[in-house]
Amino acid sequence: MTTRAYLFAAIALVACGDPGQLGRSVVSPSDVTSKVALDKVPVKGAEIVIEQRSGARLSGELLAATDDSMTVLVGDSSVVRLRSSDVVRAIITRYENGALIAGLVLWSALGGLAGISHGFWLVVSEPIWGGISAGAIVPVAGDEKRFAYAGDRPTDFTYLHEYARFPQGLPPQYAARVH
Amino acid sequence: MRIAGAVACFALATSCSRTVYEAHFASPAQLSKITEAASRSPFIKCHMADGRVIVLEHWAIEEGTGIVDGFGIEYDADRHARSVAQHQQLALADVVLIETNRPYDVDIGTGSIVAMAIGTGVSLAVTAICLAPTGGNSVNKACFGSCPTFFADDGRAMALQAEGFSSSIARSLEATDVDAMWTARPKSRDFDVVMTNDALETHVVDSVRVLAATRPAGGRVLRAGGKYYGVANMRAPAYAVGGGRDVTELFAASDEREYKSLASATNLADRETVDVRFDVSTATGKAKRLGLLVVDRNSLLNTFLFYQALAFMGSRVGDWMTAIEKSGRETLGSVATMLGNIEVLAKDATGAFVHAGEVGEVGPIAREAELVVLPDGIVSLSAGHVDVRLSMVKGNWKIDQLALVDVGDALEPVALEPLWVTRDGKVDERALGALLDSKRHLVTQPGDAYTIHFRLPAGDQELFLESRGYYYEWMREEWLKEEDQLAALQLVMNPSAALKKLAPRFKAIEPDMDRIFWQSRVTR
Repeated sequence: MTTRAYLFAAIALVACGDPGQLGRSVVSPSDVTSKVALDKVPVKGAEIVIEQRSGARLSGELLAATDDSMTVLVGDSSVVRLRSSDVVRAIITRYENGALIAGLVLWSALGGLAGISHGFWLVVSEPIWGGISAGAIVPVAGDEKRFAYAGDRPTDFTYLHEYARFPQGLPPQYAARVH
Repeated sequence: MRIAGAVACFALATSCSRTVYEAHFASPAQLSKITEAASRSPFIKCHMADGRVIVLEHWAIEEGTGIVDGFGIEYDADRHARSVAQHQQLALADVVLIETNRPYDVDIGTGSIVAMAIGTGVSLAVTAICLAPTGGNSVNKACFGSCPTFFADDGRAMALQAEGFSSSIARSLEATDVDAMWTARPKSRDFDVVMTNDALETHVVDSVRVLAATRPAGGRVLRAGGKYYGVANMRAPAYAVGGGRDVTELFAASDEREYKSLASATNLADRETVDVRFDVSTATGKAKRLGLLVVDRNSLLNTFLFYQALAFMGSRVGDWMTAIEKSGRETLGSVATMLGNIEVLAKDATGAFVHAGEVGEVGPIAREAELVVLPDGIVSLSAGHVDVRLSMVKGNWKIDQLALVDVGDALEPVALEPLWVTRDGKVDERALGALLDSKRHLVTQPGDAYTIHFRLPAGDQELFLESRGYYYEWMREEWLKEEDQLAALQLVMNPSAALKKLAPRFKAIEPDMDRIFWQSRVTR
């Protein structure tokens, strides 16, 4: 049981820790354009989770981003600006896969437990099932999010503005609310 | 199973595709940079300096006139729609940034779900092999049942050495069992025995001790009932015939190549004989007595009968166990008596086979090495060979080795108590106390494993494992389907008839029993 717990924890860590790189301004791999109603086209910024150098985490809607700062709407009304140099990592949610990931993790856990019924062959089947589970969950989790990692490379934040509500920059009425 | 299905359905329902947007950005002055992307995009967003955004479809930009024309919705900075979808026209000069939006679907999770579904299918197939009905029998009686199993170093790895008190299936049947650790090869005087519960059973262990007897030079020590003898000069059979075929090679050494016959299709109590001849021309002549070494274990026949009895008892197994507790071994003893031990007969000077003794250790897992001392006067050496005959129930035994040995003096082994016990790498004082205190028991559950440490005497020691306790087999849900109180009663009161009646049922699963048995072992 302990081994399985570690396995699933590892899967979860890997899934959360390597969500892929930013890059919205790339040509999509598909030539097929989906039909979307006009009023369904998103006009808000992406959900963003920011890990700060201080260790604090902040999440909200990305309002604007420049090379040296990012502005986030936290809750309904709090507008917070962070200097890029204070940010370790920013993770963007492209779309929500939480329910699917939870389902796959649960499926993986149940499959792992059911492996007990394999008796002696459990020593073979459990690692295989662990590999299948990891191979199934990690890409789904990784595809859900995109992240920019600053560290000593502030240029990693270059494309962050493309996920903001105001890619053109913060309008005056929001700039006045920054604190 | 239902839960797994629900999870799969949930995963499928939440998978398949998500819409993402290919987006390109340019200021009006750099519009030409995104011309190609814009031509493929059904939407553009015109971002204004005051935070408004106008989302347009069926749009066109007339660079000459500086007008953006299209059908769309205007949102304010808070993203409240300021208009319904309608024709929009705005000056390009007022736009700060133009963003193209081309939605496309990305496949999410379908491959993952297919992979996990395939994995689940294979997993279910493996489970089915272990748990599903076999051979037309509605109840699987082949799943692992082991009593406590004991492992010790055989010089290469921890190897199975013994299974304890296999016939002690209730508290009143608590008994002391001694098993030879035939392949144990201690590397030093510090000796570990690993005791495991690998079955769906509750083990109640009173004590575990190692019995150590100093081996004679070049020889071994064997147990004959409650006595121990130094033996030497092991001789393999010159030939052996069992089941109408030459099986000499199977008995030559303890090498896991076993002799096993199939049970009778009409009566599980039907017997067979195996005739074995030993050449005694190489005998030293100094031996006072000769003996027969038998290394053997049970087939799964008695396991089947035990589980079948539990299945017949069904929901009233508690009542039956109470009856067994009150009446002792006699309740189920009649079946065990009919299956019996391996009887050893020796040919005397008149050419007749006469009873020499019996061996028989209950349990299908660990091999037991036992000695039958051939009585003085029975064996004639004048012919240069010794003939012995084994008589046993067909299909009830697996015999690994037979050897004629010179029997030396009787020995008295030293009983060694455990010095400490560890579980999951940690010292377990409670377990040690339970094993040392005759009034307490160590209770183990499936998957439990304890390492019991002993300190051996100096010298080349023959080791035996002495264990005392009892166990309870867990009822399987599948077994309840076969509840038949009359059949249970017949098994106890008229085992002769029951063994005939059950023969076809056993024969139906006999070919697969070993495979299923080992696959269903509870591992740690």
